[in-house]
Amino acid sequence: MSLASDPERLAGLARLEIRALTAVEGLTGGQHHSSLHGASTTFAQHRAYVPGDDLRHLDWKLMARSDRNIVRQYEEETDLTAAIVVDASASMNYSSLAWSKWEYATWLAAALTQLLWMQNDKCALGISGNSGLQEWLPPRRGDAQRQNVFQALEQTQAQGGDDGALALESCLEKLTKRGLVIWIGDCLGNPQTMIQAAAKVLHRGHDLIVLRILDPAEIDFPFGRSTRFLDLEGEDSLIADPRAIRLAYLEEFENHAQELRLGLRSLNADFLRLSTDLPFEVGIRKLLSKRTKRHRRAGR
Amino acid sequence: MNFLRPEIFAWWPMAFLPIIIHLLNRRRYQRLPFGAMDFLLRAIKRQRRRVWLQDWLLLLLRTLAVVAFLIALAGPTSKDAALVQTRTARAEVLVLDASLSMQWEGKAGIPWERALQEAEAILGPLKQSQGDQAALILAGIPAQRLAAGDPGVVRAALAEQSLGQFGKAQWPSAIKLAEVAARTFTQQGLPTRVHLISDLQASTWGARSDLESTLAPLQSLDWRVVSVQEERLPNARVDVELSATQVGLGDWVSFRAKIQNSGPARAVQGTFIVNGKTTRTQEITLSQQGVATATEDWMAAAEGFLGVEFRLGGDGLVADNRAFTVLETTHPHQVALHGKHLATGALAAQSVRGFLDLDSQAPWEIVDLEDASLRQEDLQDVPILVLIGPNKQAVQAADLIKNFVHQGGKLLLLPTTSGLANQLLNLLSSGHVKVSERQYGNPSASLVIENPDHAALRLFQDPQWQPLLTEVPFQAWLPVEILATSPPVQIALSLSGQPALVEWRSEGGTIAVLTAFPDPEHNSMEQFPGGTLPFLFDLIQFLSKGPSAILNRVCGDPLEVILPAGLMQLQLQNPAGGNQRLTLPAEISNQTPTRLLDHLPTPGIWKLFGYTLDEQSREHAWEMLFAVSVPAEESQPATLAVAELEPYLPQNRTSGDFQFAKSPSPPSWGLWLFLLALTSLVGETTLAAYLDRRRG
Repeated sequence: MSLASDPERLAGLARLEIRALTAVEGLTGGQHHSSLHGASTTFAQHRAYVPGDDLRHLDWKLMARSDRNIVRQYEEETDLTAAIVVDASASMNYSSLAWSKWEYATWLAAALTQLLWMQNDKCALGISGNSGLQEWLPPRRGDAQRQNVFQALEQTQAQGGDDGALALESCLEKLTKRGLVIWIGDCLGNPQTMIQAAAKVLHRGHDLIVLRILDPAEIDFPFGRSTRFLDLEGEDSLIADPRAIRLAYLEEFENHAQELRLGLRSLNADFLRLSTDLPFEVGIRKLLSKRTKRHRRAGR
Repeated sequence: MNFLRPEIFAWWPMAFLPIIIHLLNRRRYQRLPFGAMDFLLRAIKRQRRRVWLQDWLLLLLRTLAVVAFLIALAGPTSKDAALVQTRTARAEVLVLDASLSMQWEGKAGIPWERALQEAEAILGPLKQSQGDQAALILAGIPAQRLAAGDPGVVRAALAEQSLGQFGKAQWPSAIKLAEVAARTFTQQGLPTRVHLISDLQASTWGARSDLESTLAPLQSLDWRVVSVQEERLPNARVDVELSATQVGLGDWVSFRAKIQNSGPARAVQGTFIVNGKTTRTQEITLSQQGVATATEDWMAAAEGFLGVEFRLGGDGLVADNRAFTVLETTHPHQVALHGKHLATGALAAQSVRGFLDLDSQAPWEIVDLEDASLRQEDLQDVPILVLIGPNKQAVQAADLIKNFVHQGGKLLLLPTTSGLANQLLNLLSSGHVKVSERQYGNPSASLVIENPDHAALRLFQDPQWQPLLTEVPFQAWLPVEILATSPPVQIALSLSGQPALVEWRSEGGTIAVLTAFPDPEHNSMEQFPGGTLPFLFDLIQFLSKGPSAILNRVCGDPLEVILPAGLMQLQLQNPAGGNQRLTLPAEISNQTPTRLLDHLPTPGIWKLFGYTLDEQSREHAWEMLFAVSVPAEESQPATLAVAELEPYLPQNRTSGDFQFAKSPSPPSWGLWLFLLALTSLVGETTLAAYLDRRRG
């Protein structure tokens, strides 16, 4: 089986737009409910079905006539505002594969943007830098916004320190309407700071999805011989025998991940860890499916 | 504590190897940019002490293993060092066949290389630290003991050996040397064994009937034969000879090469080389076990010596594919004859002239002084004066003749009357030699060779020519009496028990008297061809030139040369062109050969050169060439069968196996240390495996 969002396949494509389209092809081929919709009875327009759409909104009569998957869209459904905030700290540049965490994050952000555009939702883009938001594209819908997002992602270089919490808070100040905030980053900073920022986001009535991007080498720590580790976000370096400290590292790593995961879940935020060697399609489907169930339970 | 092998401690630095590797590993690291540094920092803080302990424990175990292993190898023991041998000390005496046939290429290499391998295998287990001894004897020319005592020294001597020797191995001498070495070791209480390593070339070992006497010195010893004999490639032997060894300028001479094939029929290429330059290469067809010849005609165009070589294309034994000889080209020298019209010697003079005057065929030019008064200028530039008679004019010119002889001239007196001959001899030699009255013998009287090595008698050393000289009866002769022993008189021939040809040195020259003169008046030459006439030819050659300048020798022969008077410096040039300055003896005799080398080692053309000083202190260059050939026996393909030697082997053993006494008991320390090293290694491996598993 060849997944459209397989990172190896995406890395071989030239433009981010093409990558986004390719990735979304995979997503739209599924049979899952989309969580990126609102609830209303005022018909607005028809549009093509995307994964995650409620099957109850399929226009069966039109589908029978046109032989295409068409859903009915209502006024309030199109009113979703999603803000994608991508961590562009230097630690995102790490890669043990042919692509870095930053590249993987941009592909993911582009794919989500493509999805939002296809659903005619408003999409905002925030790029987290050294001191909060490094770049901000206010929420808009339409193809122009989509192109702007792609362009911004392509032109940004990951550099500097990691202050995702500050970026999230800055983002809140710019969002005037409740919506969905999607945080894409490696979340290697203090988990409590991250949790506090998430709490603020949720407190303002936004939905929050945290997509944690990690390199497989950061997860498994497979290094063998003596290594001088150079800090990507600073000047520090340290020499260690990786085999000797692997267990301690993994323990520290797991503790951090556990704290972050439990903290975010306790806030009712969605959290998903993605390894850059895996297709993100699977993870996102799982996430969307989980969100759909939660929305149903909430009666939305 | 003592150690059996203390030399192992030279490897002590190995104990630091684990530490050095550890430190080097710490210095050799990869550089890796990394994002999750906080986790790393915390992990290192937590693990630092534990990792340090684990690393040093590993290091300790590794070092301990190496140290224990080294000590165990060194063989520690609490006993006295002299008593710690693991086995009884022993001695090995190796006798290595260094004859030419050891170069005979076989299908699996050459026997010499195999012999070296066998010798190394025998010496290999010997250790001086255990009291072992060894000796290495080379059965070559001459047989010599190369090393004895410390096995290490013997091994080193063996490693230096290369087969550069030619000629027969001198087995009897080598075996005597082996016996001396073996008895020396035996007296030291060492079980000793003699190994004769040979290709068993029959000619090298001598006649089969001599085997018993050759091997007799080994009878009470333990010895064995290590045969390195193997199937040989076909061989052909080459000899070269000349139609004449001395020719005049412009004369033609034939080179004739004889190729004796001891293999199957085949075609080979033969090349004549004169003074290092190829004259012609020709294809020669050899029949099975047959003889082929190749000839080349050569005109002598330059005065001096020519080295003549014949070279055959390679076959089994390469060394005997080259044969050498020397040709000398000279200006015809002058021989003055005096005494033509003497009444009593007329017939004799006529006979001698008729024999010596060979026109252009002769290697000399006759200056016929007839019987006139001798003058100073008559003897100018004449190396030899032959006096027949002598007559009164000769006796009157005794002072002139004496001066001629003292300045290096050679006088041959052929007396026909005793009176005048004795007058002249009295004047020339202070009367220590006298010619007696004519004697008439029985018809069976014939000459006896007293000195077969005399250069003038070389022709008669060949049995087929000897009758020419010694079986011709003499009816009348004038015997020579030797009245005093000083100066020493050499007797070359005798007749009826009395000297017939004598010669002695007189200052710078030589005087010879031949009393068994071929006088046709009494000894009919027509009736008895030969006699002393053919001998005269060589005698005059010898006298006019001194000893023959042409020497043909075989490898292993001594180099003995009659050196010219007044020689001031002498150098020897070997066939490869290398020069060696020779020390001149205090006194040089131009009568007796001087030994310059005990053994000629290499075949080829050799050169002796130097300079002489005359009475006016003028330098004159002097040189002679001589040829050294490979001994003919070495080319003979016959070999001894091992079974032929078995009757002489020690009776208690027919095979080559010999077991030395086993060691009483091994030292126990070493075993424990080996166990310690093993335990350390097991511990290190277990710990490393555990850490690897734990660390993933």
